[in-house]
Amino acid sequence: MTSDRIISIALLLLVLAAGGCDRAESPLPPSATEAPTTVAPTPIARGGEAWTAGGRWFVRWRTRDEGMPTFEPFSLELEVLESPDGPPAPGDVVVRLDAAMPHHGHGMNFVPTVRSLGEGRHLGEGMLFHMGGRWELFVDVSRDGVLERAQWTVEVE
Amino acid sequence: MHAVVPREGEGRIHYPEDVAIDATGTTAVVAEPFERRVQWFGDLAAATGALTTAQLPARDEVLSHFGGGLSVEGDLTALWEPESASVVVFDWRAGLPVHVTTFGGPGAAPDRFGRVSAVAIASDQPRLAVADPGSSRIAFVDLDRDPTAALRFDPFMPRLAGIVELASVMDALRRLRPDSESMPRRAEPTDLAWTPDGRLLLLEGNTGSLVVLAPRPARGPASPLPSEVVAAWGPQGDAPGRFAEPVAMALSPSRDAVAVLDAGRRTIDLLDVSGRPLRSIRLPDAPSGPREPGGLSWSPDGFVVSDVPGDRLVRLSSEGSVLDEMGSTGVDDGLVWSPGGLARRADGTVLVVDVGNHRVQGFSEVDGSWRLVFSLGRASTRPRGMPAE
Repeated sequence: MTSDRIISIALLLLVLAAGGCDRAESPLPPSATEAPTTVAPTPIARGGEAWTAGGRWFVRWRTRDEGMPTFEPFSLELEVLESPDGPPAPGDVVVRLDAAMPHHGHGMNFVPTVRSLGEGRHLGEGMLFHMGGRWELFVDVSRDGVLERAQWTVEVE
Repeated sequence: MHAVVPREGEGRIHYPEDVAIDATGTTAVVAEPFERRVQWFGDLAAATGALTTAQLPARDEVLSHFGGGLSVEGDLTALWEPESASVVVFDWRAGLPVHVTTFGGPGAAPDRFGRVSAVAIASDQPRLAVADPGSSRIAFVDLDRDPTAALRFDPFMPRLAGIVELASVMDALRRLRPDSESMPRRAEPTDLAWTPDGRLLLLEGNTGSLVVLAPRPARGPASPLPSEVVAAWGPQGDAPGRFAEPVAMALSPSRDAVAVLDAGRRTIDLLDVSGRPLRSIRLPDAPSGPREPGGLSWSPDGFVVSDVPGDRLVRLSSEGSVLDEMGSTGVDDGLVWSPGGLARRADGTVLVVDVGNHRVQGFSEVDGSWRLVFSLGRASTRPRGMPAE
């Protein structure tokens, strides 16, 4: 792992630990001002947290090592809780992940999958932003016939 | 071949539902129940007396560019467009309705719709409830909107808050009702309305029930969804407070009573917001009363009811007697074709979904005079006094 990537992940963890926001975090500043040209640019690492729109669940997400690239598949780590400091959502909740560009009238070209890792943690795989611009990121949490959505705006270069 | 404007014929077709071709293959007859006509292609001489409108097939799920209902709250009006399975929102701050957003679209994803049957805008927050029996659910959509900002079309305004599965509503209804064994399992919402305390009233056509959904306590700061069935009023029957074929409802201007239009019993039933029947008003028989009531609105004198096949709005007193009527058959300003849902604006305008003409028209609830027309089409919005061309 390159040193700039280590610094980038450390910054991400600091941001996530610092508290919540109801929109996506601003892209973290480049961690290395002069990255070697032989190394691929460090992907932008991001995260966010919010209550679902009905106030039933609290959702956190963050990118993994690959960040949130354009034209490349990436994964998101998700956490679904009963409150920011509360217990994890019950194991029978169904979590769905999606994204769309409302002003373009389309979503992603792929359907991501979400699998439970236990204790309210989930891994969303198969995300792919096929173009830059403003994306809306959705996490839907369903239980007992009721679905609630948490939503963030993500600017992708 | 598609008609460009409603009523256009001479070979242009609008919602055909049946076709017959003669044995020689030289002539064809096309039935268009939406336009209440048949068109003959080929040897016109042979057409004489061949078909009458009485022989038209039954109208089967005719779709239009506006669905059968609408909702008005403050500066906002919401309708749905069946063909694109989408909901459209208009903003009245400029004095005329301006189309500010569209959401939905066909599909099974949570923010898509199957078949919309009703919309309702909440009174205390920018949240819409959308009944979607096609996907068997109710969707709740928040409008992220600054009511002081300049008007513009904003695709980011709608944000899905959540959905409530109608199957879970029917399960809860079944637990509340003694006749649950014979109860249909599938819900068919015909109308929605919000109460001031955030409850959602759902008029369910298959069981003839008015279902009350209350918000569950929220753990977070967000506004909770009304997802818990706490009451069901009006099981099917023929007594006051029972519904046979409830098709529309409207909260009173003071929001302390709800009126339910029952096309089956030909009544307007009044209930207080706790569900207690107040009284039942009998609709006058046709021809003075509506042949087939479709929409309902309160008015200062009583009620306005749309007469779907009669192409008119009937103004009724609070006792149910006919005061006068608005509109007649046609396509020009003030004329209607299969009018559907009604809603009342605070300025005293009764809006009607002019389903057959793909538009909404507004009439004065006081004297019945025509006030405006609007739709999604180019140059289709026009208040009284503005020429059509």
